[in-house]
Amino acid sequence: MAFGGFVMSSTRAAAVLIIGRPCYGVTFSIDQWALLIGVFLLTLAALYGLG
Amino acid sequence: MMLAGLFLMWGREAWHLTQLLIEPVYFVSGLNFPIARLGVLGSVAISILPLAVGSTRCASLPSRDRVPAGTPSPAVEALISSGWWSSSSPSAAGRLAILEHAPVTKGVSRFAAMTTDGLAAPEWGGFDPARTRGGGWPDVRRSFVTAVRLGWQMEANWTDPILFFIYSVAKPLAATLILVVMLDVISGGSRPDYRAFVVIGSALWSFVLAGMSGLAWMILDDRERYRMLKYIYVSRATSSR
Repeated sequence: MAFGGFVMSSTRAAAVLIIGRPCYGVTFSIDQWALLIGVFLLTLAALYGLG
Repeated sequence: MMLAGLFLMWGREAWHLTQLLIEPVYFVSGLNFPIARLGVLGSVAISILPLAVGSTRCASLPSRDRVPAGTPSPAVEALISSGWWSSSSPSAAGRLAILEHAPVTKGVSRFAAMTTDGLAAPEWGGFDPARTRGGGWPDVRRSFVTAVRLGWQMEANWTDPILFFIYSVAKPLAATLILVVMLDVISGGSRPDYRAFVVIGSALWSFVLAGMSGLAWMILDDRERYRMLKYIYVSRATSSR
């Protein structure tokens, strides 16, 4: 059930990033996608572990 | 899971602990400001919770606002996060075990006290998988998918998914717009490079709230409204024992 909330948060975050990028004229520079996603997922795992 | 375990034991009292921790965790997450401005404290914060690594690196911030000096490498940060996870899981499992075996009155456990005559828990008060039917990977998968769907529907309060999606996206987008306009007014439009940081921070802040209080709130919600947790707990698919 908590994963359902996580899916909702992920959808919202993705939509904000995708829509906000052209709307607010921002650019992101990402060199290592795999590392970024890996650290992000591990951080979330730690955060949910604490919660 | 750690705070959710406390919630199972202490009820609403644990909610204050969760509330107490949310703001400090927001602070060390570095989603609201460039964490490098904190210097050594920033490197400690980013080591505890490396959410700011992505936001500071992706946003192409000026050099003084990038990851602070002394910040561990991504591999070390991954190890720290793994440590968080691996230490909190046994902690939560331990509290559940305490609850299972905690005598309430006359040697009857809380879970045993919840059952009816003839369907009582074993003498030791825990869950006996031998009494259940089903199990195996297909049941686990089906239970997981159902739980995810249920969690999503609870989050959306069973409303129209498209309507809820539009609403839930429009609100953070509008909040981001406020921050972007504030940033432009304060900086006089001279720092567009901070916009990316503001957008990433606005997109990710809800994870902190969901991670810190989502599981605990789920238990509170279940105890006071849905009252399904004990049935889910004793179902075959949720127990590996």
